[in-house]
Amino acid sequence: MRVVGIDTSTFTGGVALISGGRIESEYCAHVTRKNSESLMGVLDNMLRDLRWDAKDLQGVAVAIGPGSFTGTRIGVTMAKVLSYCLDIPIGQVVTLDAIAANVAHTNSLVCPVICARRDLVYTAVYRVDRPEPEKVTDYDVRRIGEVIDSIKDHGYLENQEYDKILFLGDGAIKHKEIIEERLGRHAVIGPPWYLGPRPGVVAVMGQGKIAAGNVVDARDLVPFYMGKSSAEKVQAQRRLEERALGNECGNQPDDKG
Amino acid sequence: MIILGIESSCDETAVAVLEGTGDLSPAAIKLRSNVIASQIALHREFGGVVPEVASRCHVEAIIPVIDKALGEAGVSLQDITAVAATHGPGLVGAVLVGLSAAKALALACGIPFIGVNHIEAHIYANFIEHSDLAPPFVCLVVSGGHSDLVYLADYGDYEVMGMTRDDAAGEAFDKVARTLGLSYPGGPAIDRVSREGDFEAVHFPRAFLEEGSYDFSFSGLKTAVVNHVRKAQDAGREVFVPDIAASFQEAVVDVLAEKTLRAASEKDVATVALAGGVAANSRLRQELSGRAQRKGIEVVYPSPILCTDNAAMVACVGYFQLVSGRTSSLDLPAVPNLHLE
Ligand SMILES: [Zn+2]
Repeated sequence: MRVVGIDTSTFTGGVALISGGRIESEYCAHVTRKNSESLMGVLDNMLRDLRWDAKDLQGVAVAIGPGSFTGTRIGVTMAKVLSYCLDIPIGQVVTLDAIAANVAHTNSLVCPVICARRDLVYTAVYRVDRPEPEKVTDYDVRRIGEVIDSIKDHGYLENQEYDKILFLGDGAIKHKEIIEERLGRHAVIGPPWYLGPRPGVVAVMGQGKIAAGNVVDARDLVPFYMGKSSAEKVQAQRRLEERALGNECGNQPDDKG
Repeated sequence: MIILGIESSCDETAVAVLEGTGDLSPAAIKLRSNVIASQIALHREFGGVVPEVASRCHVEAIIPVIDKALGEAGVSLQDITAVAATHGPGLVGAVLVGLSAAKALALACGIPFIGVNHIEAHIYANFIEHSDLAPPFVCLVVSGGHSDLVYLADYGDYEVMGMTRDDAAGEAFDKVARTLGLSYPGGPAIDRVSREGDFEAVHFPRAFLEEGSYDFSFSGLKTAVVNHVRKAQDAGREVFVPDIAASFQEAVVDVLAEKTLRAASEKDVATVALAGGVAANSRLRQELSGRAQRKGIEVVYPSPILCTDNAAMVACVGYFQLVSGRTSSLDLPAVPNLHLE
């Protein structure tokens, strides 16, 4: 099965082509918005290099966030349209799951931390002593201090059930000091090659979902915003007031979700 | 050839299908479908377009709208020759949805992609219904996002003679409507209520700016209306909304008509075109046509459905670009403040 994987949801992003579960080609960059916008051009070249035609694709996998709202919408829209035009299924992958999947068969906990709006982070804790990560806490958006509190409360580390907790994501770098200070030797900040979601991982995970019949229709696919609707309204109102004060419409401020 | 157009720069998710014979002439084109999913009702709650809400809605609407446009045109994806999409100006998060969709569609179908300037598209909306319209002409593009006076020397050859220095005309309409307690969007609301008002009731200032300038400025006028209403309220006087609305509208129309016709005289053109959401304003159409007639100048404008943001106009630019041999790279970025060149 030939699947294209797309991720534009966080600080890294790219596209990958896999065949029979093997990564054939992968492009990943530390993204700005411009990188995400040019992904279809990159994919075009990758297909050509492999001598594949777009029509050979049998599935599309996409990271749906949580992460940057605008960024995620780029990848999600591309996945929707590829699915619609090529009549192929979509496997959606939560970005936190994809980051956690960078580490496997290891007796550690993994905690991806993605920077969100203001001081919040998107996070979940996973055990990775198996091929695919398994959540031990649900997806959440909260302050880093609260994330650390809940990890300490759980007592995983004290019970020596797990040796270490590996922090990944851009939030791991941003909050490195507080993580290390509060969790001591138990906490490890992941190496650079583990930090972000990889398009190849997204492709493989998405293919797994498609194979299991866990697919989503192009019309129904939406980013995983993890937003609260009341908060959105307040935010919307504030932006409107900002515009009324004379800020030009056209330049969106920081859109981190 | 068949062009699929996609537009998502503000609060309308729109897709259209346009057919053409391959000639570089408005007589060669025929609109096959023009689907618009409007978010106006959603944004009314906030009294204006909320960028974050707009972007979300575009993502949800894009596939159903593409599907409907193809269905109404009676064509399938295999029939499409090229896909065109707005790449600016507009709200960047909103533009990106339609632009990303167009690039993915071009890649999946193996067809050319064409990035379109939204303002140029508004001008080209005039070609869809006026098969005898030909450059050169002067076009006044007025909407919630822009107020530009453009000289179109030839297809794809522009001179921006003037633009707004502060608020766009449509923005001024929205703000004044809010002051007068009228509904959003303000343009149609003011147009409607003005018919019961006296446009000479209040003489609001006209900003013609320095001599010879084709630029616009509407913020002073907007402030004058706000102050007028406030003063009346402070004095306990009842304000008759239709009079204020009509007087405000007259001040806007007066400046727009005067500068547009002066530009037409300078360029010595026989035709003036209107474009953009505010081009649907009945008083502007009437006044500009009346004054133009006295000078022997013809005025053309699109139907209201082609004045608001739509994808037919985007497909139209796409057609003319394709026929001229101009396509875009899949790397083309969204440019929120894109200008006409
Ligand atoms: Zn417009």
